[in-house]
Amino acid sequence: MSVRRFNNGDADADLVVVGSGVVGALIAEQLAGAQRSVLILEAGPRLDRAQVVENWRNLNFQQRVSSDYQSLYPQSPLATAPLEFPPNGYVLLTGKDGDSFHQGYIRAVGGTTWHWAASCWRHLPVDFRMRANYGVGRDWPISYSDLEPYYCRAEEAMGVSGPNDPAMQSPAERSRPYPNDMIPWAHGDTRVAQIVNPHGYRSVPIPQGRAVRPWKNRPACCGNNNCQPICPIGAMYNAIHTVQAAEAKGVTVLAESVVYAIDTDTNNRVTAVHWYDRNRQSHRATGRAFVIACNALETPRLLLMAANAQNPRGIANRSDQVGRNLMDHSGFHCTFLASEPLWLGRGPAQSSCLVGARDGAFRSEYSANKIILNNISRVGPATQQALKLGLTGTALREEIRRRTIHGVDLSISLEPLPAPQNRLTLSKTRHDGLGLPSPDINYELDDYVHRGYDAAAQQLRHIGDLFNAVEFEVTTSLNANNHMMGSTIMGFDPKDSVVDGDCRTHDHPNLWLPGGGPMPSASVVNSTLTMAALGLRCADSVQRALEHV
Amino acid sequence: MAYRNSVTLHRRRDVLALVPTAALCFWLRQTSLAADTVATPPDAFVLLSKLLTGFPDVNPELAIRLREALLNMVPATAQAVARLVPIGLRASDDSTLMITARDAGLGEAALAVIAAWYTGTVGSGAHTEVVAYADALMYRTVADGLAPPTYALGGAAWWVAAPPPAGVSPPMAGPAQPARRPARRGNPT
Repeated sequence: MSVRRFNNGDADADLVVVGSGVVGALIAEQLAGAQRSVLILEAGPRLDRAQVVENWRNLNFQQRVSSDYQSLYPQSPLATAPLEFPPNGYVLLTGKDGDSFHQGYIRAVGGTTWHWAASCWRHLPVDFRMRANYGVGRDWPISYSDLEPYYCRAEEAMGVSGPNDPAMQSPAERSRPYPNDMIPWAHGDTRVAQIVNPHGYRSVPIPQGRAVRPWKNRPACCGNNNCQPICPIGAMYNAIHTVQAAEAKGVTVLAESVVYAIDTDTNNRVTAVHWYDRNRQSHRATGRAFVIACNALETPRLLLMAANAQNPRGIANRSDQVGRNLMDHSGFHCTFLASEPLWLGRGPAQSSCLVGARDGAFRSEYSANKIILNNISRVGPATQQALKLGLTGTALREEIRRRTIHGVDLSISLEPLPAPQNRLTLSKTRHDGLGLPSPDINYELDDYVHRGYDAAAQQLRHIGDLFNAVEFEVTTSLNANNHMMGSTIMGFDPKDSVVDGDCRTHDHPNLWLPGGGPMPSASVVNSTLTMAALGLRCADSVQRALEHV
Repeated sequence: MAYRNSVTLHRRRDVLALVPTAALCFWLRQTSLAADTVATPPDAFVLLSKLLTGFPDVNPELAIRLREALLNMVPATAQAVARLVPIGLRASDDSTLMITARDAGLGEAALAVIAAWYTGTVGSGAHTEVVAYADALMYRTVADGLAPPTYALGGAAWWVAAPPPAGVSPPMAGPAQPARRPARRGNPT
C-alpha cells in the first residue's frame, strides 16, 4: 500500500510515524509488511556514511579525544540537536545535576543509532518490579516475560551477537539463542575477565548489534574501532538499515519534515499531524494510526508544543506526566595504567562488561552499576597525556606507546529512579530555527544514585589494585550517557502515567509513544534493545488496532 | 591495508642521510639566530621535525602542509620556529636541542611543532587546522598492534590474534621526566 500524496504536499497513510530512528523504523517496516501504507516524517536530513566518516577524520584532535560525537553529523538548521563544541544552547539545563544531563542525539534519517556503540542489553526480570522487590522506583505494567518474545524479535531484527553460554548471559532467561554467538574477545577483554572474575565482578560479553560474519545486508565487523561515532563500513546495526528495508517495502520517508502540531477529534482520536518542510511550508498528514518515536526529549517536546483546545496541557498529558520522570544512566569514568599491557582498542568499541553489581538486595538502598571495559583505542588520550609531560623524541614515542597499551578506561553506569521533578518543559524565551520552543530541563539526582557512586568507587579501587594500577583516577562529576528514558512514562493508572503496556496513550486511542520515554525503570544497561522491543510490541498493537478501523 | 603499506614504505626510507646538508648550511649562513622572518625552508623544517619527534623518516609532504599551517595559524610560533631551525641544525639529539631551545625561550614553540606532528592538528582552541588524520605520528607509535580508528588491521575478527610484544617498559608511579637523554631502543613500531 502506498501513501497518498496530494498536489499541495499533504499526505494520507494508514500509519503516520514521526521519527525515523530504530523504534519508528522497526514499526514502519512491520506495518508495511502487513500491507499498510506508512509515512515516516523525519525532522533531520538524510546522511551519507562516507561523508560522515570524512567529517570525523577532519575534526580536530581536541574534539576527537573529547568524544565529540555530534559535530560530524550535518544538521538541518530547522531541526537542531545539541552541540557542545562549541555549545549551541539548544537545551537549557538547570537543577543541581543539570550538568550531568548533556545528551547527544542525532536528528537525521536513521536517528541516534548512527553513533551508538550497538550494545544490546536486556533488562533483568527484576528490573520490571523495582517497587515490588526493592521498595523503590516504579513497577512496569508488563513483566519481563511479556516483553521477552519482543526482545528476541528485536535481537533478530538488529542481528545481535551475544553469548550463547548461559553462564555468560545477563539475564539468562531467554526463549531463543542469540542470532549470532558472542563477538570473540581480544586479549584485553580476556585478560581483564581472568583477573576480575575470581573476585565476583563477573565480566561477560556485551551483546552487540554487529557480527563477525555477514548478516543480511551488512558486512562482517572488521574491528575498525570507530563504532562511536560512525562505523565506516556499515557492519554495525544502525536504524538506516531498517529504514532502507522499510522503504523497500513501500514506506515513504520524508526527511527535513518537522512535525509541530497535532489535530484531535471530539473523541480525542488523533486525525492529523502538521509538519514544516525544508522551505518552511506547512503540510498536513492524515492517518488512522499515529506513532511518535522521536526520543525521550523530542517526543515530550512535540506533545507539549502541540497542545490544542481539547488538550490544553499538551497531547497525551491529562496526567501532567509528559516530560516528567526523565532519566539517563548517570555515568562516570575510571582510568588507570595497568601493570601489564592490555592493548585495548583492538576490535569493536565495547565487547566486555562487569555486571557483578547489576543486581542485589542493596538495590533497596542504592543504585546498581555496570562497568564497561571501553575498547576504544587509548592512543588519543595517551598522546594528550604524554605531550603534557613535555616529552620529546624517542621518550615521547615510547611514552605514548606505554600509555596506549597499558591504558584502561572503565565507563560506569548508575541507575536513577524516576522522579516527577526531573522534567522537560518548553522554553518561553529560546526557539529553534523554525521559531518552535526549545527544551528546558531540570535535573536533580537523589542520594540513591550518590550512594551507588560511592559503592562503585570502592569496587573500582579494588579493581585498580588487582591491576597494580598507576595513575588511578575516578571522575567525580557525573556525565550523560545519551540513554534518555521515562518522559512519557508507562503505567496502569491514567492518572500518573502517559501510556499503557503497549505504549498506547491513555488519552488518545490511536496514538502510541514507543521508545525510551515509556520506560519506568532504567536498569543500568543501555536502553536501545528495550526501546526496540517496546517498539515491536507497539507495532503488534498498532497492527491489531488497524484491523478494527 | 593501504595504511599498513604506507608504514612499511616509511620504514624503508632512510633517515638523516637524506637531508640536503649543503643547502641547509647555505641557508643557515643567511639567517641569524634572531631572525624575524617566518621564511623557514621546508628541508630545514624536516630536519628539525625529525629531531623533535624521534621519527627519522617524517613524511616530507606532510611537513610542507604542517609548516604552512603553522605559518598561517600561529604567527608567533612561526617566527619562533624560524629561530628554532638553526638550533636544530647544531643539536646532536632532541635533548640537547630542547635544552638550547628553552634557554632561548623557544621551548613552547618546539613543543607546538611536536604536538602538531603527533596529533595532526595545528593550533588549539577555536583556531585549529587539521593537516593529518591517519598520518598523525601518534598512530605510528602503536601501528604494529592498532590501526588508526576507522581503519583496520585485517578482516573479520583479526583482533583475536595475540597482540605484539610491548617493546617498552611498564608504567612506573610518577610521570616520566622530559629533557633527559633517553636510552636508545629499537624502533617499537
